[in-house]
Amino acid sequence: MNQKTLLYRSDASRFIAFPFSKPDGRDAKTKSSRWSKVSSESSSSPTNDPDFSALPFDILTKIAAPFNFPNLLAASLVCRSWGDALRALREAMVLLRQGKQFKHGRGGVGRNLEKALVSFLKGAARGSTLAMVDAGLIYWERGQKEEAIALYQKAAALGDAAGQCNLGISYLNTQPLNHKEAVKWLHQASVGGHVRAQYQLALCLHQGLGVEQNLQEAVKWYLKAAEGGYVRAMYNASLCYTFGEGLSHSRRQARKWMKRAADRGHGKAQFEHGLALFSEGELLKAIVYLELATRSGETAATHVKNAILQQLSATSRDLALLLTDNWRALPSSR
Amino acid sequence: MGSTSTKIKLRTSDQKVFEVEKAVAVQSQTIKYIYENGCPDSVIHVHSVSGDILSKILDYCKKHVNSAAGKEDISPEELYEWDANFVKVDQNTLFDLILAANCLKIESLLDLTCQTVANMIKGKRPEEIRTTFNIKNDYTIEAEEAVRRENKWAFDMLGGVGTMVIEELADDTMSKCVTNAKSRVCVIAANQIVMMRSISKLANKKSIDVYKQPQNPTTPRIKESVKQINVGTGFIELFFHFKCKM
Repeated sequence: MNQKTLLYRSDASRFIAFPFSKPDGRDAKTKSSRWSKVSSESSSSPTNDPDFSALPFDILTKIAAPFNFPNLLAASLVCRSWGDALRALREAMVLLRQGKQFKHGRGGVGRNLEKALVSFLKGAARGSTLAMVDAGLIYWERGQKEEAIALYQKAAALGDAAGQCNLGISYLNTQPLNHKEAVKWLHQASVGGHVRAQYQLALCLHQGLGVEQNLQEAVKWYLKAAEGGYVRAMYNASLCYTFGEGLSHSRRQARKWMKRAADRGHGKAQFEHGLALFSEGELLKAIVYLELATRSGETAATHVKNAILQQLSATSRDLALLLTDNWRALPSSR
Repeated sequence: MGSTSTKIKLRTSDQKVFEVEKAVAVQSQTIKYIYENGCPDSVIHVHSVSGDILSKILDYCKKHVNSAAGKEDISPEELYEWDANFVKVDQNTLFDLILAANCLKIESLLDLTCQTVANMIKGKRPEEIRTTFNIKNDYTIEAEEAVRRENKWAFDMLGGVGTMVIEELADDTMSKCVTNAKSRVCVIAANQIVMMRSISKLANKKSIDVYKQPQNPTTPRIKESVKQINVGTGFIELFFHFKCKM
């Protein structure tokens, strides 16, 4: 049947998955690949070409363990043997979704952490690292740290960045403390692009935990995490620029990162930024940030704020209050 | 003689013999098992591995053993860099390394090679993956559809709602879908308000989630209006696709 007609004509029982490919394109490609299959049967393919379609099932499962669903589906559609090999992981995805529904109480089911854990564990048993990490999170919240760490270890070994990050953090937080291992896993997760891991790794490098203290590296990772949207990293990066730790002084960069952290809700950053604005004479803006800092719990901000308030007229004070009340933090990756 | 200078002989599929330190060779669980359960003096055959590949593998094992034992002054970051360069090889070699690491049970090498392949797969569409690995598509259209349909319920960009995509305009068919749908389905309508009204009408005062079809199919759907159908078996959200160009 010509794929094209299905777009315009009706046939109630036909379900098309549209997000993944254009019907025309796929049709054309399938046709052409069928052609090439026919023609290649007559000509012999070089015998020393590796046949990735013949990768053993357990290796494929290992490879695809940390995949999210889109990647898993793409891999499943490469060829039949991959599709067969990855069936268990696709089932794991269903269980993962179920688990998330139970965990957050979405989609018509009530919040039920027990059932969530059961679903996640089933998904983990089928090899999905995403399920392992989620199961680990539930165990951790309940205080069953050993079970959590075991799951994180499995996920981390399979290359899951979140698993590696969580494993690193748990090594920093549970007895017996193991800073070296923590740093090793945080490093892997950081290289994989995990923002929180980058921040934690920077902290370790900064304080010399589990690794030699290295301020330049620490700042490099603070900046990476900051650019990834991690607010605390932004604050720390700003401090590094201010004090010239690990890189050269730069008032401009320090101000830039402090402002960014302040705009995303960091209390101390709001205080510092408020002070900086005051020193530049921007009284109104300074008040807004200082008020925000006070509301975030920075008591030191209150004194300065009150001092500045004296200098403002009543209308300015009201305006400042209005601005503060309407302020909303910019999105961040926490 | 200390045990560190014990040597093990390995013979490959192409009859090359390698003599290596025991500590290096037993990185392979297979070799370790054979060594401990067989005669320690004889040569161990590794049939499935060629000389070139075994040579590379032994380099890897040696590097890791030395770094762990502190014989080499190499930081974890540097080792990581070394590993990254180790796997920058042509596909033939990569494939052989995976199979060999699997057969010889060298866990860290298997992890490393698998992650390399994983990174080559991530973010690509099936056609692109096939090109990368030179794999032929042996799916028939029906088989491919079956795979897509199999897990349609499982996930969705809308955040965990199962979807059934129905390309349909006719009213009677839509009502059939509503009543027949046993599980969740989601509605995406084009931006015509007319469509939305007719959907609501059809749904008989039960409401449905209507999502606006975005221009770019990969951006998340935008909820136009949120109401939910409750048809006794839980929530149903109808997913409609009206003549949308992809």
